[in-house]
Amino acid sequence: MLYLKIMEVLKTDAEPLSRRVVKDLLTRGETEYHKKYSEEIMYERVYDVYSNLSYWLDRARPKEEIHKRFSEMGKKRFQDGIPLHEVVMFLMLIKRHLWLYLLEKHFFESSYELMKSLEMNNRIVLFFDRAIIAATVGYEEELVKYVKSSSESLLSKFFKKK
Amino acid sequence: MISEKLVDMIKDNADTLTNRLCKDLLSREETKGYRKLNKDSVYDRVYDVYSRLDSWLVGDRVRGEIKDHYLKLGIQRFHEGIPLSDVVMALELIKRHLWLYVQEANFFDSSFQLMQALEFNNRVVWFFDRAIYFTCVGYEEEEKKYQGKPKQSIISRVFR
Repeated sequence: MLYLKIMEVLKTDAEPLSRRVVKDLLTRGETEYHKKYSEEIMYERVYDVYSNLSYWLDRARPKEEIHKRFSEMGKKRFQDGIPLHEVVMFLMLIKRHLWLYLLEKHFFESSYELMKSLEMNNRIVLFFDRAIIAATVGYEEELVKYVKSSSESLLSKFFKKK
Repeated sequence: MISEKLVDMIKDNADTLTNRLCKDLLSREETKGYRKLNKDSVYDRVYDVYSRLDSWLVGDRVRGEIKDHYLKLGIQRFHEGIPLSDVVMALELIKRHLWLYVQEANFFDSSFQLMQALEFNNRVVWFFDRAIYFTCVGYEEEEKKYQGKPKQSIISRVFR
């Protein structure tokens, strides 16, 4: 029941939630590099996570699918020149604002709802943990590729000279 | 309001928790970077997190201390050549095992205790978010210093 209620909030309130996160992202010192993007681009990125969250939180969803989606995100952010710690903070803020929003809406009042909220909180936390790991892995893979190609081009330049 | 009972439980059971975590950490593919370290040193590192957690969570420590501690940890892990994704996973596992342990203890039988558990859970999540974030900052800053002359962590990944 609580799960369904939260999924409903994600469906109906994804927009105001996304706006809150964007405002936070674009004013924080910890997400300085994100400020080079327009509010609309940032909105699309945040909204994309919220509007698909019910899909990702479905227990039937294989972990591999989450990994693939967010390692791609990590790769893209490396190409965009965003530091990894900002990518991590981006995902953490999406998680944090969702939780604050649910608390604000007084979702958890009875003992039963409180019990379920703990379960739900863990499900959300676990999902974001997986997303952060996948983004980190993708980002590192791209970094390694970059280092490899830089050292190869350096070597080829060196041997050409000789 | 945070439950002293929960905080004490972690402190008193830091050894059991650490042993569980080490077993998981050293057998997982995602954290294989830690296998090259001595088992005792992995134990000490994990134990250090659990045994300090009470003071991190109840607010004895100021935010700046968490920041300094984890910035240094990130720098140290970079020099040890452990991939950042392994380090992040290790911190996430420390958090996950902690929560599994709390759930096993199963003492949430009133609304008040449930509220405390929820608050405790949020503080734990918040603490590890900061720990992970600053570890990444420290690691990346160090990595940047070696750009153009990539150090062992990048080299070992390129050539492994």
